[in-house]
Amino acid sequence: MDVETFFNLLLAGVTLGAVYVLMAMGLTIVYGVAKVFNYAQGSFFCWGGYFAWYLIERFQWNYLISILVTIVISFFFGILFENIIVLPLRRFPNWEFTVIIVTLGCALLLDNLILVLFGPLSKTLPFLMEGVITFGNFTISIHNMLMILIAMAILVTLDLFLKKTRTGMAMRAVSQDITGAKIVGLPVNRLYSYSFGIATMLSAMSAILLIPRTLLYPLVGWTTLLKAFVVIVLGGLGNIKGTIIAAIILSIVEIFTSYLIGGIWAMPIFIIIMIVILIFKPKGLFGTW
Amino acid sequence: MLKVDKVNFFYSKVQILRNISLRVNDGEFVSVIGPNGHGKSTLLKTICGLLTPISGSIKFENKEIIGLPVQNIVDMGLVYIAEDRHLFPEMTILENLKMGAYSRRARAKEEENLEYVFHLFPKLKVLSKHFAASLSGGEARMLAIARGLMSNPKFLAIDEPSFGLAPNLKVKVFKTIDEIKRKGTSILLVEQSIITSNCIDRVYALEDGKFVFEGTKEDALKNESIIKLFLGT
Amino acid sequence: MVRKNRQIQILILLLSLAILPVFFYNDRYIMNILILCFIWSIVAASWDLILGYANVFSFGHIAFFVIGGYSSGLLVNFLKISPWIGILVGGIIASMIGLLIGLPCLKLKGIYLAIVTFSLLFVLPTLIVWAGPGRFKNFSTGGTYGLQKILPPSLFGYTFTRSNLIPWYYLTFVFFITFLLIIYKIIHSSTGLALVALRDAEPLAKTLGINDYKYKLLIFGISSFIAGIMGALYAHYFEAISPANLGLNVFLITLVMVLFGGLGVFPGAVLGSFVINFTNELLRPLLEWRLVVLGAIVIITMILMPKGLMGIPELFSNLKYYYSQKNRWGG
Repeated sequence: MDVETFFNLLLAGVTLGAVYVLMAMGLTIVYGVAKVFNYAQGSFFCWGGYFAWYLIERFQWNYLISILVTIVISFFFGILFENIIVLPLRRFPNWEFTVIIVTLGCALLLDNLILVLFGPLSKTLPFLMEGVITFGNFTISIHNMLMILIAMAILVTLDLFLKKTRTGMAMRAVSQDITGAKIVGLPVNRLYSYSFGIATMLSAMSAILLIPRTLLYPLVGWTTLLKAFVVIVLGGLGNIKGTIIAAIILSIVEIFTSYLIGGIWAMPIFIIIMIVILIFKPKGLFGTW
Repeated sequence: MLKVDKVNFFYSKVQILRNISLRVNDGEFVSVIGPNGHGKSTLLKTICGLLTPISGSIKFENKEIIGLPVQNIVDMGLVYIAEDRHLFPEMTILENLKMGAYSRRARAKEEENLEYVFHLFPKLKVLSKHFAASLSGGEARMLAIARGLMSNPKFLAIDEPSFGLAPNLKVKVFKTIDEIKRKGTSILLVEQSIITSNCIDRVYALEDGKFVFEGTKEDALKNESIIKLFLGT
Repeated sequence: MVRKNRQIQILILLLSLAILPVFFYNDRYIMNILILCFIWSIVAASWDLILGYANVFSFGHIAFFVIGGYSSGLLVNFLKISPWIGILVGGIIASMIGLLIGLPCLKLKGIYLAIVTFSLLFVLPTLIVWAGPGRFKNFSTGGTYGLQKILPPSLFGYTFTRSNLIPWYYLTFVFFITFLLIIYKIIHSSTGLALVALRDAEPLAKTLGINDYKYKLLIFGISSFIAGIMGALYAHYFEAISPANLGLNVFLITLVMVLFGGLGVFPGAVLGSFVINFTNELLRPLLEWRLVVLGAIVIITMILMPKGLMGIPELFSNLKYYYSQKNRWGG
């Protein structure tokens, strides 16, 4: 393997990692704040892609506008989801388990709805921007570069939001001690909704970044979701730095695996890595949970 | 200001509170004493909205508050300070305090309350950038009370603030509570014993989920069975 | 007194099931559904053992079902052993793999365990497809299309094919009763009691010296064994098995069977299996909308009856809960 291929693969890995980080962040935020492990997040991802596709194909809208509309709608969809589906369930004891099943049911519904509405054939989403940039011997596609830049921008914004804004701090408070949050008067229900809104937005954004590279098909959300799961297990649920590191490592492993022995082996290797690490460190590499 | 009327509370199938009625008038300092496990914490949690009783009525400033979400009750001015403190461990003291001032009413008075709180607990000001998880028991208690004050309460429901503290800290905590009372806040304090503060107006004794005594502090100290059951420590 | 009544009721139920073919022997459609009901009842019941009684968040149960099916199918087709032995070996292999996975993973916290076991459902198809046609000289798993032409079992010269469903009905019925009894015995054994103790009062149980890891591992092995056997039976019935059996749909539908009857409530899974299988068939006319509706049913069922069918009396009070929320918006 020459240096150029190596760097290209590395870059592909890092850009892929960016997407996994966003998905993992979404899952983490929802789990930390709303205490829901959202198995339907993959379907949200998928819907984000299909919705954007639909706006472009059916209405011939400008790509940028489609993206913005998709992201805004996904935020409200997340809020709706928490309010209509999750909130009524919180009244019951053992609701955490019930909610998992309900999110799985939603995943089933949403996935098959896509099948019914859009059919099983793959579709494509356009790149954010066509073309490549050349640095000496290295060529990077502009889309990939944008992936890294946008993902970093999103992460930084998210970080600032959580650390500096009142709502963000309130969300962190809820994730640290829910009773404490209630007794200081934080509007917990509203914060739950926001966490879902943000997480759904993150999945839609991930979809828009990644799908141009991989094609849009009804189960595309699941592969990404599962990899995000592994990232979370390794990085530790709730541990932001751990998640970023785990995502980058895993995605680089995935890219090199795909190149060397074939893409289908990525998932099995992930699982083996995950099981091996969990044997020695049942809380994940950096886990605090 | 606070009127609790015939409240019953069950945890699963076990009855914890039996026909509880109590009153706290404006500016009063009322104490509920009783042995552990007899419902004291449950009583406060029911009043502040964390738990919902199966029957009865709780009125704060003549408005029924059973069934309201905790944040609404906090907004009305009824603030609960838990025995378990429930601080935000990965946030600094300052951030914890700011969270206390989340409601609109409290936010308006944030600067003022912050100054007041630092005046009451100077140590918190010194440690203001430290994480809540690193605080000692006494400091955590202070932070819990301070954070409650940031919510601009008209009424404080405090659960065993001195539990587990060294004697000199206990004294300090009660002196602080006295000072808060003198500023006009009504207080409902739950403790294991009476020997806590001088400013207590009335006392209720809770045994087995029922009130077995109600009266002034002097009356309580004269009552033989109360002395036998509750005094000590 | 109550015990006797119960036993008589159960006996009557079983007898009626036993004589059903007398009425339906001409209706292949219904016979097929009933056979599937029997098979899935045991799969669901064994899943309930691990999920509801041992309180282990294993989402990979179907994987053992399929492993059993493939093991038996491959052994019978390529090594020409008897399908009866194949079924037994299928169960054994499934349970060995179950123990292999359980050893490191049962120590994990719930969420992590759910993630790891869930990923089995996605890893297995990869391996199956990889070992598909063309990869090895004399051996193939059939790849994406699955293993076809699995030899059916024979008894005393008679071969159980799908041309006559009555023998298959009674065969699966026998398996059904046998394993139902086995599961019942397990639940009421000292192991079962230990598990219930762990489930309902973990700290207390642990101070009594009950080692949760050991018991969970044991049950994990047993339930995977049972799932493997049923998978092998399934494979020999349809004379085929494929990676499609590992799909999300199968997973969810089976999970709903377990939950529908009530988690950790013994014959609940059986009830759930019958209800879900018949509902699934009833929904077939909806074609591609079937799974959408099924997903909706899952959601609505969990919202209204989080405790399963055994919670129907609660259904009415739940409806009141659901409609009388005052706390919708935090403010």
